[in-house]
Amino acid sequence: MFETPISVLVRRKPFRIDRKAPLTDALHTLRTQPARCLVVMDGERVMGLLTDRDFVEKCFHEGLPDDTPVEVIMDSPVVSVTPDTPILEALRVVDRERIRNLPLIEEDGTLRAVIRGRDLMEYLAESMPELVLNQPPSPAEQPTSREGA
Amino acid sequence: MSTGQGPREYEPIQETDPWEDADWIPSDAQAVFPEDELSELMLERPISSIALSDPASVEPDDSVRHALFRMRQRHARALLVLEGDRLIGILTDRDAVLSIDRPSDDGSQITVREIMTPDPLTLSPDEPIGKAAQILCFDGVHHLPVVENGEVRGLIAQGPIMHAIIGVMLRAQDGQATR
Repeated sequence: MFETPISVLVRRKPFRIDRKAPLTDALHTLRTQPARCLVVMDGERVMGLLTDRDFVEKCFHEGLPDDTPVEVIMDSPVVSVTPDTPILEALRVVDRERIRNLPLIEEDGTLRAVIRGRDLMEYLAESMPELVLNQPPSPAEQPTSREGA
Repeated sequence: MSTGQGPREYEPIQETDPWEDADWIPSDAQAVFPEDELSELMLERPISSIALSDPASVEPDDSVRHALFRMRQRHARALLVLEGDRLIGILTDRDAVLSIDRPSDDGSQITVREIMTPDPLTLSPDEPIGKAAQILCFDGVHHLPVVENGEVRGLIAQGPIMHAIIGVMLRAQDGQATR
């Protein structure tokens, strides 16, 4: 974990969207794709991130026209690390900045992937299976909801 | 700097799923793990020690517009849905995005009850932090209400658990560095 690069956790392609794309497109992608975070691009350059939270915080109550460009509500500037950053250092960044999505950007500005908080959580859990994975079921667990099913 | 012909194409990334390989976790992960401290944190410390004690809530017949206002007001990503004192559901920013199909909509036509997740998974405050970590990792949820005898005691999310684990690991690393 001290030397292992964060890039070993990359599991999926990033979802990109142009900064001038309308909010309708971004909302449609978030609703229909397994995307929790869109990377807002200006050509090949990363401009910002867009998540469910940005729609809640900056869009739905504002009465913005549907064709407003995504750059109006994106979260920018972006906190990122390079793909060769050690995992522990990446954890430190995520914790310090209180972010859920951490883009991996090469030295030359190329976007490689976005690591989610969940990826890091799963890595930590897999690293200490006896403390997380082997927990007994609890009486309060209610496997009746659709999330727990 | 473009790496391909089409400027809008996704970067090619590794095709293999590292999770399929049981031995993929690098050996240095185990070597430097502060096992005693982590075991104390994950198996002995109760969830109540790091849970948010006063989670934001709404009522089931409130409009989604009102719920979104509460989320912004409290900087919360999840709201407990309470009928009287009883927990009947949970509403997240994800639920809002999935239910509102136009950016110009404000959710005033929908009620919380229509889009909440009913009967969410809950934990009791004295269960260990490792239990919450397990559910957050593998049950596809981001937030867990903490309930005792039918009464809501708090809410636990991924952030505070990771913060606690990372705190232990960074202290161990800093300790090693000064040795």
